[in-house]
Amino acid sequence: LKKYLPILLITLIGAYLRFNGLGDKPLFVDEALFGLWVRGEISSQELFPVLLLKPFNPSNEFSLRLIFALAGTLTIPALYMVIKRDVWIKSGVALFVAVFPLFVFWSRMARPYALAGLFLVLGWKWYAFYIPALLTTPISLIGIKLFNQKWYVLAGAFISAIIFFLIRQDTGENGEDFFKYAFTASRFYYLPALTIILYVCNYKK
Amino acid sequence: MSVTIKSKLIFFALLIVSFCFIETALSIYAEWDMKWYRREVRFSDWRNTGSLDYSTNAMITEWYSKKPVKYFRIPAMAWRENKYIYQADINSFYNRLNSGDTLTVGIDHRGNWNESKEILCQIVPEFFNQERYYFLNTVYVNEQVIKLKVWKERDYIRWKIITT
Repeated sequence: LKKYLPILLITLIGAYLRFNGLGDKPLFVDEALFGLWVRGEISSQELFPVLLLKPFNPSNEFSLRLIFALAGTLTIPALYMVIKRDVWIKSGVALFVAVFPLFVFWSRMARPYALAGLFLVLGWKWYAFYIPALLTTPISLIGIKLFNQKWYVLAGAFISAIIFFLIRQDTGENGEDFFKYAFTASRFYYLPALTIILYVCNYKK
Repeated sequence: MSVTIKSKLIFFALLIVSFCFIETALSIYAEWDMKWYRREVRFSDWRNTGSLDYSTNAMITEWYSKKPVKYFRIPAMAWRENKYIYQADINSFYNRLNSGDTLTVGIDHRGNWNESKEILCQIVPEFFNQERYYFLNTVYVNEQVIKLKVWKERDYIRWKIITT
């Protein structure tokens, strides 16, 4: 137990920040859209979480956000398990993810990023987890471990992200808005930030 | 690495973590602001508005009321919603008013978006004088929703705030 006490405490801190008052805020528009997919017509977007939540028929904010808060919390021990460094570095990284506002905020929303993040971290060890990650959000592509952890893989991940945003760019009069939005919206940084942490921490000379 | 450097590193790491913890813990109940990690998310409390005929935020209204509702805005679709079933059908709004219907309209911070503001200016121009406009913005900032009753009387559009 002594061996796992630090990560247990860190996970509890992360859980407190993610679950405290989880259902207090009303739904944000994208959460409502997700909720409507869960309730009614299934969309190919965010297929995995929609199918996961459908049998439970969430009726309030807490039940709609629960799975994502849980995934965000579980990302903390998952990172600890996946990173092959000494206990201080592993604990430091886990603590950073537990309290950093970007990770906490998006774990508290009924949006797919925290769930995809958990799958990406687990996919670092077991490739099978990349399947639910990609079915959760296509942005997960950025986090797939390709080869050894070299600098050019990291650079490749950044270039892929830019290409991804360019491909997704809508044509027509709203195209410009999307391009601007894609680079300023913090949600699109959740998975790249986790990916960078994984690459940096598992970097081998 | 020497013990002094290591202890300094640990000190700074704990400082950053403490700052993050406080920032995150305080942000849970914070109102909307321009913080980099949440500026694109704006909440509006539609929980007690019930069913409506038109709404500036149709998806949230439908989720809470479990009844279909139409967008209260001119048909300029936002890129994120252009594939969704909702269509901005403002002609039906005027048609229903002309036929003598009394309609309920829910307005949240999106009432300040050009697509909705354009119609709002025609129906409730009083909202946009200086004093009222301040009221309107206060309502939006406090994550509130204005519920309006709108009807037509002798060629004039009348309105009344039901709840905020």
